[in-house]
Amino acid sequence: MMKKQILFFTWWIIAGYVCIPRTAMSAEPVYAIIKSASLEQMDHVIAGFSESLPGASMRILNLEGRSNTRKIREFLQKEQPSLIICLGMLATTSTLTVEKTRPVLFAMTLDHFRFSESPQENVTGISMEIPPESLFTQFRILAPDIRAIGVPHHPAMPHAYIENAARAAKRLGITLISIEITSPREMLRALKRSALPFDSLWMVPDAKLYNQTTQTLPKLIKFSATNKKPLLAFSESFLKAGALFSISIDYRSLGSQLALLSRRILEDHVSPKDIPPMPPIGTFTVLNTDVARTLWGDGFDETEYEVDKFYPETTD
Amino acid sequence: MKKQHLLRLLAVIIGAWYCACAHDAWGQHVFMLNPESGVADIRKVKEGLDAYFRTQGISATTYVFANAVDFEDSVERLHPDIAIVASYYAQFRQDRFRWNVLLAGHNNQQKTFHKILIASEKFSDIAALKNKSIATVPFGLPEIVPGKLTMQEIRAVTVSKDIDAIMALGFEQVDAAIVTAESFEKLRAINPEVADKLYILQELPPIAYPVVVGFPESPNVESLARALTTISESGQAKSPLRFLGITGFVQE
Repeated sequence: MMKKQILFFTWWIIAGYVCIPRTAMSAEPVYAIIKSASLEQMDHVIAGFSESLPGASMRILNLEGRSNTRKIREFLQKEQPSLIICLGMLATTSTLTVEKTRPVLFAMTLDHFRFSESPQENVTGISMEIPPESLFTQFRILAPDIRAIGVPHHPAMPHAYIENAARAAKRLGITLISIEITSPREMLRALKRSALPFDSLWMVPDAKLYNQTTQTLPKLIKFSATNKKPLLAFSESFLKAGALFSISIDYRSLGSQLALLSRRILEDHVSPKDIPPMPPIGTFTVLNTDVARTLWGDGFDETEYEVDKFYPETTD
Repeated sequence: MKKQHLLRLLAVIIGAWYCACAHDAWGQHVFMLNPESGVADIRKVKEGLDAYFRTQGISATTYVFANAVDFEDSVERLHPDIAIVASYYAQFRQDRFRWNVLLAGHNNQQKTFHKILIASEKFSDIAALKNKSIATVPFGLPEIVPGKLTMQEIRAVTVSKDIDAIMALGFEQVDAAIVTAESFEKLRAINPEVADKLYILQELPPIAYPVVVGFPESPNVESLARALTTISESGQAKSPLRFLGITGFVQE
């Protein structure tokens, strides 16, 4: 009889241990990180997050490029996280269909307005747009003489985007010259015939203007080189083609920023609905030294510039 | 009995000879740890220093570490000859590694650098920054303002450049920033509107630039240190010196 009782109690203790969610056993919050795919940038975000929250209990789910709400539901059910971080559009859209209460932070997501303007109150995050004022400040540090930046764009590009950038530029004493390009064939002509003069160029993320079929990027680069007008691009990948300088997001820093946001929600008990989506803080800058020498001659000295990387990456 | 002793002695001699040969075959080991630096171009830093040593006729392999834990684990495993480390870290780990400070880094002959703590006008007291967000490049010192504010007491947001930290503060994304005075002045010249909203809450104590330390067991310390005394920003050495934030070394 005694033996039976002992067995019965032991069984209950084991069953209880297995069934109690991990978060209930420990006061430490569990962070669920759901990523859309296996991307190096996402690993940098996770590394930055764990550096800023050392010892944080993280559980990671990789959707491997496929929307799978059942997998997400099972993952969340099993891990019982206090907060969910979604990296990428697929991870965010899929998670938001199954999670309506726990805080969800999005990052690395284009067109974030669709989440931030949604009625779901458990969502906030970090946008992909580096504030134009930060872009132009860094461009100005690199090229102090710039006074007017030409910005070619398709007419379909939101006016608010260009107007907002123009206001930011004005605060730095820079005039932003909007150059509408209706047809990709007109790129060179439009740049040459701009009504207002400009001394530098900004390549904006305009998918209608810059894509594989339009072939407008080589024209822009050619114009920049021929007329010695430094070109600011939004991605490092355009430096190989001939852009001078790129400013993109620093993903490790993005992870650190997500850690900060998580603490505001979990430790300060601020509701996600009261935290508007914020722009990324950290930038990753790359300077094309070959183009810099062409623009500024042999006097160019790369040790004078505080950038994250020089292109090309050769050891002299 | 005598034979056993002889065999044992022979084994020790062979072992020591093997270790010496293996170490030589692998070249000399130089470790680098600078928590103040970003980690964007580690490969270039390593290749640059290796190439520099080759120009000095030394076959050395450089290992660049992102954190102290990996650094310390590897010291036990790889037995480096010298290390280039943050000055405060050299002091902090003196008892453990018994290393000797051989050279001190300088930036255009300046042996120390200053950082400042800047904030918006709503923070007039350092104590008010406890549990607040501070943007900074990796900051290795545990105490920000000695006796008043530690890294544990704040929420640090790490960025790779001072300019990001200042802009984040200017846009009210963080409550304060730790940057160099030079960076703040550079921003003031370019974007006075942002800079004028901020002020220097505290000038932080001077921090010595990274130092070169030699491990007591290594026979190669002197030759490696001697090679580093002539390092300058030209050629291959540019990247490692940038990583350390210095322009050269002087005898300590």
